[in-house]
Amino acid sequence: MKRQIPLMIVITLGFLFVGHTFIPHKYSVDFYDWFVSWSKAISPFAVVLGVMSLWMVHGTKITRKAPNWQYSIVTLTALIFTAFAGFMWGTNEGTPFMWLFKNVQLPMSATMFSLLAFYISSAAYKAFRARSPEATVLLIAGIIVMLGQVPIGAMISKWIPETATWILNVPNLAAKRGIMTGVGLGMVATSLKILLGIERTYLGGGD
Amino acid sequence: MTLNYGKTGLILLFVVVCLMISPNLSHAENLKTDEYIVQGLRVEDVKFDDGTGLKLTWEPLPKEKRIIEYRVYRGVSADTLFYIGRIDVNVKTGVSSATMSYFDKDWNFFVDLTSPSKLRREKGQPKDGVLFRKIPRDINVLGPELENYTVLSIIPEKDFYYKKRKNEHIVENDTTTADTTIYSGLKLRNFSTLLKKLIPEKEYFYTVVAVNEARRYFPQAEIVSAQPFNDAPEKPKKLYPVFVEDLNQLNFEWTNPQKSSDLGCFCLYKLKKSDLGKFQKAVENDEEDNPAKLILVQNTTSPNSATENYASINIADGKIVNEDFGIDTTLKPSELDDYYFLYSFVDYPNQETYSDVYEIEYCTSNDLPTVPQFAAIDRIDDKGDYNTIFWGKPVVHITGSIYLNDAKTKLQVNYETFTNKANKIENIYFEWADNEKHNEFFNDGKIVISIPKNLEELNFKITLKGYEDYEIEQQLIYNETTRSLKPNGIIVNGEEIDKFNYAIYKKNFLDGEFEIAKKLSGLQREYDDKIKYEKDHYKVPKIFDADKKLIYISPTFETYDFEGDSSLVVNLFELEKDELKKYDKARHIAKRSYQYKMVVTDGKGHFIESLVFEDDGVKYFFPKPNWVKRNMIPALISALIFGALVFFLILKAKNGHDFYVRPIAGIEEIDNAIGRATEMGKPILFVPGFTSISDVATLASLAILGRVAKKAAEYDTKILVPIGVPIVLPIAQEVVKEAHFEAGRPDTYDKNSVFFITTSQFAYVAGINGVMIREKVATNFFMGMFFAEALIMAETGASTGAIQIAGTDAITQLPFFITTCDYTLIGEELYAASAYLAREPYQMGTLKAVDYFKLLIIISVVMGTLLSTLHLTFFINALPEK
Repeated sequence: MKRQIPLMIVITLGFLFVGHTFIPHKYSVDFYDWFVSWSKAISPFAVVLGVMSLWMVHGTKITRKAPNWQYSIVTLTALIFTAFAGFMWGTNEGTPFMWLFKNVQLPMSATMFSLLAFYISSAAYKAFRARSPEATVLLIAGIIVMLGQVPIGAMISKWIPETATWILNVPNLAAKRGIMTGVGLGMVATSLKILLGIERTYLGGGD
Repeated sequence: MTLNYGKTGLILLFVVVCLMISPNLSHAENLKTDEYIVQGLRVEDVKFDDGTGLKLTWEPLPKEKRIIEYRVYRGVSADTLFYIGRIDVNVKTGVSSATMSYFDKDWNFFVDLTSPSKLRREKGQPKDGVLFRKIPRDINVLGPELENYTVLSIIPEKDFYYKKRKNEHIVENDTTTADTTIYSGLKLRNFSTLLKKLIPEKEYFYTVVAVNEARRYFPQAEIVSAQPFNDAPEKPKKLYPVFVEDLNQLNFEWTNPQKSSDLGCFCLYKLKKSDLGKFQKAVENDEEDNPAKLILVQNTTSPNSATENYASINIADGKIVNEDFGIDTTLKPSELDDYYFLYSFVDYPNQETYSDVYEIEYCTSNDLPTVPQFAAIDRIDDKGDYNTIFWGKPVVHITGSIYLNDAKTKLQVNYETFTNKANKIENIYFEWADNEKHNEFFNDGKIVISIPKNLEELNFKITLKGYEDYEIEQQLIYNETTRSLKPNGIIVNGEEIDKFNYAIYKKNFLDGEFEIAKKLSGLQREYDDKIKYEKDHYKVPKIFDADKKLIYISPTFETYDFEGDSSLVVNLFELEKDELKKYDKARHIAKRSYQYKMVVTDGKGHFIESLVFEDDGVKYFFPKPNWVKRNMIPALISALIFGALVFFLILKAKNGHDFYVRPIAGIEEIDNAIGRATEMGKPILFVPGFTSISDVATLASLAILGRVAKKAAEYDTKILVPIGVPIVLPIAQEVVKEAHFEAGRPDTYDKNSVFFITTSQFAYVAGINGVMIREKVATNFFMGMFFAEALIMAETGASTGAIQIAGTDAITQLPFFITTCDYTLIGEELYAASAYLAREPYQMGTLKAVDYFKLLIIISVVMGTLLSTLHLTFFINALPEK
């Protein structure tokens, strides 16, 4: 029962929402809107679960003095203080919460994001090494597309930007569309498997 | 001092605490509060309005004060002022202007769900402070405020009909209800919103509070007060009087006012040129008698529609007569040059403002535009909230051109099409120069043509397949500034159509007058008129009962008697249940059924008005909801074919057919990767993407997680699953738990191995990188939807020497995974992985169905390409565009 009832809910609602795609009637639209508004209510409960998980993982580390347990103290302290700041003074502009967001969270996120530039260079180096005929084609195409995006490309030859545009609009787009078609079908197949109860892994355990 | 983990942890903790309390330390600094009091606060009446508007102005504080908002408070006495709104300020730039303003006018917020439940003093106010937060949802406070404003309540239909409580009460001079003794009482929760307007000539008090970036509320500015007054309307702008000689008709077109909201009517006057001085003197001295003679009065329902308005007067036997307004005046066509014409705005209290005077312009009916045949229908494929109005034949026009070579002999001409429900475009024929022709069979918005060098002018003739005697002409002329060939006016069958506009007017059963629905350019051929579903009733609450906690409103509503063909007002307390349903239904039909007419105009008095559209005697058009979205039928058919394929192939698989599945290296290596981790005695990391459970990629990822976790449990290898979306956490925990049970190793399941990190993208990836490095994981799985975090994760994983298998349908991240991971599942392979690993008949049947359906798609693409090349577009046109 523990597994069958959720399965019944998924199948029933799944088919109703599939129907909504083809039925524009007010009843269908209103039902969908009503249901979506309910689904929004689930998120806050999920956040509580997330916070509990965080607390349990790091709490266990601290109590067991697991390796690097000091970082867990920092994590939990930051969690408590940020939540406290938010509940106490609100989250508007000018509050301690917003100060923390702007002066701690944003710079740290920006630091992580900026690492991407170096990783892209490293990935590009790996990808563009002309070890095989395919890699050589990739290297040439990459050089043309990169040059085509900057003024120096047009200065070298007017064909570079045009070739770059062609590469992006024809072979690149064709490959992208091919993948997208496959992804679309894969999504439909997975959805169908879930609707028909073939794929039940997401339900977890219990009978 | 040597640092160990304990000391490092304490230092970090100290730094974090310092960081956290530093904003509060800065808040604590002493500020001279006097310098933060808003100066120069003034309140004045808003000009030209209906007496319900006041304007506040004040001097903003300097940028150095770090103000982030100014909060405005209003009350009817100086000892109680409620928060009514705020103006936000960018703390870095401050306010550059010398003054700031806030308009308290029109219908705006009074009380709603965001209002506090009880009276609460504003932050920073002393115990005897006069500033309060919003007017609370407390009848004891709200009730007495009702008499200080004109309040309009919005009540959901169900509450209005079924939550009512009958009350007998006499309210003198109540103009909001027919019966002034019976009222309907509703609880405050039955109102979705209360809106307010100021009452003319009543005194209102205001103040402003500055709030700095530390959210410190400073003392209020000096309280000021003022009364709003009903002013005369603003001065009318331009009038275009035109006499259509052969029709003996006077056409007037004028601009509606922008600010005056209580207009009752527009009046048109004739004025003898010799009386101009006398008229100006009379207007200047506000004398009642002036020599301008009234020739037309036109009531208005939507004065602020920000468009032009129009009127026509027929001159019969040299006279203009209108008995309704007592107009009987002589105006001979031959004497029109002796007159000026002017118009005025007249508001409800009968205040009148005159325009300047204008001379008549002459034209004939040949100079007027023509009204195309138009029709109104209920739009199909919708939920019943649109009517479609369409007219005329399609229009194709050139929007611009681009030279494609340096010699300027190759030109790309861009075009645009306007069509409608009834008239579709098939082939477009472009003709230019000497019999140069292009047959545009597929409408892609551009054609490429060859032209002579240094061409200065190019004439285009555009015709459409299936439209005989219909020709569009347009010229491309060389423009020296832009150095390109630019299109000029569009001439359709000799008429320059972009000179005129189409104004659609509409009226329902309960409207008195037609009102403008939309004004469209002369190129447009269709308009979808949005007709909202009626959900609420609008009522003016007058009285309240603090003991019963009820607010009383009129229990009546306007509906329509279709048998008697007249509108009627019914009382909720006099209706049986069936009658209520009947009249509510009638109200919906009456308010949502519209009749339409069209005015074609150049905005300068040359206009022509159509008759009200009628279809087989039906004048009103009611939009009905539809059960089938017809443009989705091809998708439905495809889904059914796919479903049938799945069933067929599942049956085949169940009967023992062994399907060949292309080997996918990434999937085949999963077992080896888990084995490697087992041999090394290190954990496995499984990242299930960064999207919620509603994303199919996450579902596919969790399916793979189940298989991987089962294998890991069998090998007794630890699996770590960091989660970035809270809702995925319990599901992933259940999946891993079930996998351990299936493997017969429930004892090895550790709930904390599936753990939440954060919803912040880069903090999440930082956490994962930390896990990779600290736990020294041997195998990384990245399955699901990823964004910018993909490469950061995968590169870190590669640097730790872990074997990495990725799978994603995010096209932008695929190149990164391919370069940094050992194996990558590309797009659909992610969805196939679960079936590939399970090898069950049901899963294999679905997997093969995808392959066969892909084959059908490839056949369709090839067929569509071939047919289109042969100018046969029926196939691609049968498919929906999106």
